[in-house]
Amino acid sequence: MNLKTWAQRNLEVLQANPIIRFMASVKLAVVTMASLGVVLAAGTIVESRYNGDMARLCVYDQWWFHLVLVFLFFNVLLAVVVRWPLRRSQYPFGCIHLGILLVLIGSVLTQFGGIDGSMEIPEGGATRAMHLPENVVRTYLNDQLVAESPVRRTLDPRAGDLGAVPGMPDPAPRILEYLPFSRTFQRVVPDTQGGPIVELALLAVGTDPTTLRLGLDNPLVSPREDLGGLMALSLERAPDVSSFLDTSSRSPAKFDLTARAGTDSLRMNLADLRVPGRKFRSGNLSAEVQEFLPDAEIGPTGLSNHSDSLLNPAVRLRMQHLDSSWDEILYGRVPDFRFSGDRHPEVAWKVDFRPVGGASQAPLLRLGVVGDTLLARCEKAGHVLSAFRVSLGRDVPLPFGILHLSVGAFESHGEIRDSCAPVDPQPGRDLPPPAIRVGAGPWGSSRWVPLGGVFVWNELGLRRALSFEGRRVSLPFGIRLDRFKVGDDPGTTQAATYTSFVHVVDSLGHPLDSARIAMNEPLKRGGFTFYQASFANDPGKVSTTVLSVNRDPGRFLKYLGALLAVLSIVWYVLERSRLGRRGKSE
Amino acid sequence: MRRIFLALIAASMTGAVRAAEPVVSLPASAKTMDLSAADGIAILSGGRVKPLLVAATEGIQEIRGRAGLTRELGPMRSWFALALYPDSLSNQRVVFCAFRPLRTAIGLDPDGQFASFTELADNAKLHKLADIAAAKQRDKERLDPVEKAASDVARRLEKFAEATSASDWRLMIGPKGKEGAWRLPQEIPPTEVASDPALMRRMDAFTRMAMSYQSGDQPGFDSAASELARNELLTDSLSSLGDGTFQRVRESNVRAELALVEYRPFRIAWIVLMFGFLLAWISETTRTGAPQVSRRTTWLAGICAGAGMVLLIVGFAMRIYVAGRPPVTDMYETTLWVGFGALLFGLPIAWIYRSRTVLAAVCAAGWLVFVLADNLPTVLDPTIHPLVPVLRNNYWLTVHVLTVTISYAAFLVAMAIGNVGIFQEFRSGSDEFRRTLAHYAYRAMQLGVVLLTAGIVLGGVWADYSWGRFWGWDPKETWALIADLGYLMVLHGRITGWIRPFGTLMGAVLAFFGVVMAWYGVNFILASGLHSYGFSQGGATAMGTFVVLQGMFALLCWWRRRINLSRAAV
Repeated sequence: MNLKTWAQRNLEVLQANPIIRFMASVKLAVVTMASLGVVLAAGTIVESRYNGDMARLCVYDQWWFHLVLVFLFFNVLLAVVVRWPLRRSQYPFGCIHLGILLVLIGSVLTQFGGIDGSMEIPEGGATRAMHLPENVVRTYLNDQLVAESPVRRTLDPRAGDLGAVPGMPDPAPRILEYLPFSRTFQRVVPDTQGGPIVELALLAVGTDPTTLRLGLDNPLVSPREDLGGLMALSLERAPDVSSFLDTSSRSPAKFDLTARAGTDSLRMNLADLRVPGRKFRSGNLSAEVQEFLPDAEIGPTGLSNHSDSLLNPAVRLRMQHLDSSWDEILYGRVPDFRFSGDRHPEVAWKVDFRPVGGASQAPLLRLGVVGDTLLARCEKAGHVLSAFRVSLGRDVPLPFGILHLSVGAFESHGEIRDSCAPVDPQPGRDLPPPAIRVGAGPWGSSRWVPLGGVFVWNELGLRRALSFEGRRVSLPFGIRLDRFKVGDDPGTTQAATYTSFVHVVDSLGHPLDSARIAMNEPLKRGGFTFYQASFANDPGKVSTTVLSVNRDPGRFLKYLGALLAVLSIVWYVLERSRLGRRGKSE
Repeated sequence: MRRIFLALIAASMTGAVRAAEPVVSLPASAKTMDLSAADGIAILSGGRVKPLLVAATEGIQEIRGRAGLTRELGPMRSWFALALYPDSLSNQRVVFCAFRPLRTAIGLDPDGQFASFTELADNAKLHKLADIAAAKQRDKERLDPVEKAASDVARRLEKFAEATSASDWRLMIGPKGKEGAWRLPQEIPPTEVASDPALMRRMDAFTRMAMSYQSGDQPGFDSAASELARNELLTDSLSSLGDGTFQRVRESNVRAELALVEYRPFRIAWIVLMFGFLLAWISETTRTGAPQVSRRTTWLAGICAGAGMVLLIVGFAMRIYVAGRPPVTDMYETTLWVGFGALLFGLPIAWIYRSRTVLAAVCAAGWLVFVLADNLPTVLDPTIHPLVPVLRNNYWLTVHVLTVTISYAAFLVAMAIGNVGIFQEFRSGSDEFRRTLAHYAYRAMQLGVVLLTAGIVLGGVWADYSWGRFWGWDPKETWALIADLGYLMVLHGRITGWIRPFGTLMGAVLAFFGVVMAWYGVNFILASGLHSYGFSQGGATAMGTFVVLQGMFALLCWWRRRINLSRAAV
């Protein structure tokens, strides 16, 4: 029996099979379309109430949704099979169905072979790393990454033995629980294996306190945090208490003002400004000191003096120029913005301020550990503004204008421990992150690791660590952001264009060529396409661009299928009306 | 039925229900002066160069919710009064604040409709509510009605403050070709004015216009305003787009926009279509009784429909010329486009099949759509806004939206025919007529499915081009697919024999709910996903009423059909 006859016979058997005939029926098609419609409508309602991630979890990633699509696929396929060989009048029908099949196959290729991630690059920075919307457990031995395994995101919590942590030599811990939505509580606990840990709160007027936990001797926990450009923070071992607290100044403090209006010019120095009622005059311009504050602070009740140290001096002057007079407040410095001399357009101001210790740019709070003692030092551009011993629970004002520090816990040998509890997602908010519980390690009871969490321990001479984080992949080349620009509509603050000026760089960071990525102007390179997706350019911070990066092996099939389906529908309608007319005329 | 139509006609003729008017006290000349000479002065407002009349109408619309502090003042007199009598108007009760629970909450007389800018701006309770509303909006939380009203009032106050400080009068043009050339008169240093004769002339005309307005000198105002409206600097001036690219501003653009708002082709179109519908209706009802009358009225109805079509084409052409892009980027424009498409598809069907019923249905559909577009400015905002970044330089967007919305037009025609068809259950029409109508509806649905499928595919191409994915289960694309599936079910249902002529007509009516959801519901009710540039609020009551009435009408016809069938069986 040759192949053709064999295929013919099997096709006939298939066509006679009642199950196949049912699967191919138009009635099933109508039912499948109705089910698909209902399910999709539900998905959009979930998305409206929560967000796209939740809709994917609840509907589009569910097995029953895929089952409906599989039904659709076989219904469309078998509808052609049972009519095979097609008559000429059935060709459009066959082509429509073939088009739909190609689209579905293309989608499967995209699902399994495609990449859809994002890249965040600050201005001046370069990266090869691309973030994917999937989560993984990573295993490290002696600080080397040895294994990575995906953790499937689901809607329901999972418990029981969910498998061993991959790549970890015996005794390997096991994953015992998975929470899809969790809230994490952290505390600092003593641990003889651990390094110094400090838990502190930063308080600024008008905002909620920021709680930070810093650890030393843990390569996976950054000991330094940048608080959104407001201040940087570091934790380190100090050589000894006295050298860390040494604030001896190299240059005297200075607060000089110059006011200029036309040819008139006034100069005022610190000694002059400390005397209320002191008057200055030059031609038509005059000034009188109303009030001097050595360490001014903007609080809820307005301007007040915070201390007698010359940290943020401010002076209130009564100014007069020609026939106008006004009050002017001039600050030495409030973190990252200057507020001086803008009341009178004719008068130009120059404020020269150097605190005890020197001129300063980026504020830094440096925490030092000597034995069981915690020390703090406030610096700007390497110059010490103040230094002090930290006592637990006391509220300490920082010389950075409006910030206060309070240390809640300090362990010279400790560990930051997470504990996670399930929470319900809230409508309209971002989904709470997932968490896993890992057990049967040397620590006795189990441990929680929230998304973004990591923990480290030493066992059998190996330094072991595991982390639960978003999946990252490295591209064969990198992208460097030279500049990010938002163009506004004329006369408004409404954005008209977003543009990233970038360089494609090789794996060593050497620039290859420059390019421009804007909305609707993607960059194609090495099989990947980079789209301008989002950005962050808050004032006072470095602009960051977010590019979405994409590779889609199913693209061609989807385009081909879609084109075929649309053209064939037109063909079908024309063919039908032709047959209808012929039928009538006969 | 006839009474309903008459009520509808009356409603569309009178426009919105007349609300109470505030009492505005201004110098007599400010209330009576004719400011039309200033209508055509070009200014940069809302990111676009436009005639002063348009900027004033948009600004007053934001403050008052309609085009004028009072009907008598209208937009221009209101706009001038706000800029030139700011202190007086700030203390008069002209800001619309009628929501009773809000008035109670902030300690105003609950029965009033208006409040003064000063009393609202000094009201700490209102500020607190507006702050809460702003915080909730930032956190994407739902606002309660009082917070929503407080947030609206706060926005009105902001616009009011802008209008009274004249900070939207960017009518001075700086050195040619310079970035940010359109400036406020108060922004320009006197030294610059002194060194540029053209600028000096313009500044002088501006000052004269303001002064003659205040002194009630009509000829002085007319001469100064006409001088400013000549826009002699405009021809070569450039309007910066901020990213180093420039958009050329032509004086003819400004003139075309002025003509668009003065002659309102879309408004005339619905009036003409209304007559078209009435005449087609008369011709249908007199077909057997007075064939002569019927024939004549049919012709007249056809002329009306054709005239409506011409007006729409003219209106679209002007709007495209003014905006410099196809009219497919917001709800107002797509509504107009769908109405246009309904006529485009419906009139040939009516012509080919010589059907007065289809002609009446199509005119009615177009009339309804254009009445909505013309009378709901807070929902269907006719303002021409600059495009959001994702919609710029986008060929695929244009093709995709045009295709999808024109498919909605085909479905609208199918729906209109479907309604006429199912209504036949209450009339003693023949089965043959019902079958014919079902055939028309079927054809319209087929056409719609072809276009919608193509539109969805083009949307995929656009999404792939702009965002890097062909399909992402975004609510807008998902609902377009659901709508398509709804019609495919009707078309496939005919093949299975589950659906017959009545079912086809009913299907054309019910499946339109999918279109309503994809078109309006996703943007206004679900408001989630990547198509966020189209999201808005309002109109839920109107749309809900339509859905409920349409659903009840369908149910009524279905129930009547059951009775008719059981009678026939007996």
